[in-house]
Amino acid sequence: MQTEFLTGNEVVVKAALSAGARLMFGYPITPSTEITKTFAEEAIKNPRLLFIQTEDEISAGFGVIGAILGGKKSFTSTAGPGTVLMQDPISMAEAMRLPFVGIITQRGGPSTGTVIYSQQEVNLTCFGGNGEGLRIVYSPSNLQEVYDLTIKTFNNAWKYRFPSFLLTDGYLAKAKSKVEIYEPSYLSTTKQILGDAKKIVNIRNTYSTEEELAKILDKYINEYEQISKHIRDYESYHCTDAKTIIFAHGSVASACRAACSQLKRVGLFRPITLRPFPEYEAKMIARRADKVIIVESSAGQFSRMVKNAIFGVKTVVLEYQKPALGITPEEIIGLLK
Amino acid sequence: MKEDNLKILLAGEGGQGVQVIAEILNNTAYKAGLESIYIPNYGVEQRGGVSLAYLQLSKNPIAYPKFKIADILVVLCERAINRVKNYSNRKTKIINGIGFVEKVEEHNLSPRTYNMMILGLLTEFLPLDNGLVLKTMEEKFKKKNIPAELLNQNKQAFLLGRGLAVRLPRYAKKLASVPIKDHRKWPTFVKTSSDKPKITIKINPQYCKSCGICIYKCPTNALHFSEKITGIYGAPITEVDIKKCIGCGMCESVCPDTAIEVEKEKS
Amino acid sequence: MIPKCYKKENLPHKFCPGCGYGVILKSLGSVIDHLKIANKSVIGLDIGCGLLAWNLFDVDTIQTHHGRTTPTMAGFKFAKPEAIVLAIMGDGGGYAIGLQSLLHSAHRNDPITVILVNNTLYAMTGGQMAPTTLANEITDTTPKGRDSEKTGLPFLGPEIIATLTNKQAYIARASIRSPLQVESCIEKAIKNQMRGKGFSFVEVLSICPTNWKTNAEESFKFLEKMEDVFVLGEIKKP
Repeated sequence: MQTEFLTGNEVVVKAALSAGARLMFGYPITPSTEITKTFAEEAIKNPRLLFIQTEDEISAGFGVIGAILGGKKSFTSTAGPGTVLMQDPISMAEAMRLPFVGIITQRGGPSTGTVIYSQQEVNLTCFGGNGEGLRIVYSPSNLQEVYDLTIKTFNNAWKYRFPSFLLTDGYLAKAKSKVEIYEPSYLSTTKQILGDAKKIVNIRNTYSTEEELAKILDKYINEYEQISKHIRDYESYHCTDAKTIIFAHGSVASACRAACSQLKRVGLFRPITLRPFPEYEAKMIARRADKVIIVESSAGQFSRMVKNAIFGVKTVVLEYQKPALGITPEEIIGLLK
Repeated sequence: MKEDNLKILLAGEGGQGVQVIAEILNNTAYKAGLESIYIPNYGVEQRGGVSLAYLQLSKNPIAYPKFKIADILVVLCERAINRVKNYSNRKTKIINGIGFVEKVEEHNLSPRTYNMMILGLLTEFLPLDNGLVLKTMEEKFKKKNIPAELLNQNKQAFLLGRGLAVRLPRYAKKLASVPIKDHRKWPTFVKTSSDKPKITIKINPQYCKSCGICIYKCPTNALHFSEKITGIYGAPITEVDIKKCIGCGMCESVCPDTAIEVEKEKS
Repeated sequence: MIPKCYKKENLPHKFCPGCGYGVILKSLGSVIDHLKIANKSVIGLDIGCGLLAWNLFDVDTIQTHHGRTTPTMAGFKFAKPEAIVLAIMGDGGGYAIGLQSLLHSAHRNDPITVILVNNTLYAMTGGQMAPTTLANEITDTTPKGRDSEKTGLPFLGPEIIATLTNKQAYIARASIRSPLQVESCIEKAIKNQMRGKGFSFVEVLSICPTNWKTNAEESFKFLEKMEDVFVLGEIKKP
């Protein structure tokens, strides 16, 4: 283990390499660009790596799919309008159960918005595409978790064969700080899906009848529910005797955690996985509190998920929403004092 | 109308024309001032898949275009049986059109008029005026610029269907009792020339879709459509006049369906 | 003859009567047999009628998204350079929705083989205008014939791609009028990939009797008209 001084985007590349990534396909878009740049630099040094700069995010996503079919861990990174285009390949990965890995660095939206920051790509990353959101989505709250959870994203993608994402944001992407870099104790194995001479496979994504497709979907949805218990993850901070529980995710949760440490009887519940969502735990914690406050840099994308999870709980629910704006610990303290 | 909502499910081979039947009936119902709704349901293939049409006629507004149990189930090909048998119960009237395929040919009508014969037959069981259905059919075909001769044949097929409806109980078998033909067991037609060098032509009706490309491409006009034998889509297969065949292999090379093979002995 | 690499249990295939795809796939099948590459090849199928071939070959196949077969198969080739990677698409998939990817793959000289079927329209959706629709040709979306003043002239794919590729590329146009020519061009294109050279591309002029509403003779007459606009031959060879 060693301590390094890195930006979030550089941490992603370190983690991807530790997790066994061999190919990256990417298209530059702020604030994710340094991921492509750093990986391209690594690929120059290491002949086992390959970086392909594609003509757009669609092509980057399908390139990732092609490489995965060939049995290699590969990934892409994008943000904002790129995340919109990326839904095309992601929906194919969802339909074919391919271990697609995407790093999403949220920026301000809608449209080109800002290149800076937001938490507005929750819907797209969790539920984008013309499907059911059978995806695994990690939301790290600091640079160390960017490293830890990127490795988990790769591992779980290949272990469970659902498209998997690390949902960061412009702050986490650009911030530079100390991070512990280590060799992971566990790495998932890869499998060549197409082109294995030992077995002929014909993979389809088009079905002729409603029933045919419905049968496949039932199976996938059922499997997703089965594996959810192994994946869903959360952090609870100062929740034991808290009267007020803040619900937040990502870097906003870090601000809220800092605020909680200075406030009395205020706790934080933070889903580490947005998909699958830690619904049961969220409900249990919300039930014990007098008041729940859902805090996010979006106008309710996260809040809808929380309210859905805690449905039926009688606790008062308040919302604090700052779409495309950062939220500081001071702000939270001011709000709750 | 006895039932307030009459549910009709039609099922056939893609290209057999079940959608046309449903469209004509739906349009007729609209003209007659009834409530009606129709949806097609088929896969990506234009041919070679099972094509379903859900049609409902009612005096009252209809809530949803799909249904679970049909009052009338019309099946036009064997393959459709498995797809639709769950849509019937003891009360469902089943019209098994498979038994009628030869009827059009017996009356010297084009095989393409088969669906209009079924339309005529089905109309007898519906609260729709025959004349109005026929008129709607004519309008539809004229819009599509169907040649007068074919339109005429379609009308004849419609009338033929009406006549057959009288004898329907004989044909309205239970679905399960219809034997499903195994296309893979169809015999391949083989002809060998008596002259030297010996030429053998093999034509496989389970693959032949009656596109006619081999007939058009044959340099010696040795090929023609069969008058009796039909292929996978119920349309005439190619036959060879072996005396005219020079064994050039053109037909084999242009056949998109690998239905024809040419063997020529080396002289 | 039925190619050895066909899955006979899945015959007859799902293509319409008279569809040119039957001839093209049979030609591809003969090349795969001849070069003995069935277990080294991977076929990507675009959305369009070509997807019906998904279970026709005893070769690995995958259906992708409309227009996305080129980047998917290029991605596969990057991961598995030793595989023989084929992408099959229609004129809509290649020249409209997937043009950007096709051009850039050619421009990067990705060592894959693209077979593009040109039948002048979108066939699977029932016959709408494609970039390749001939001037004055009637389709669903050009009910009075394609007005080239407003919608452009037929798109000349191989000629355009030839200007983007380097000297290692193989680019040709064939017609199903001559199945042997189709076979020869496909074979050269695949060999170009096997020799580790660059991008290889074959456009095949095909017929669509269902959407053209033509019989065999009329279909081939229309194919002749296409050949006047889309010139056959090898446009670029290494």
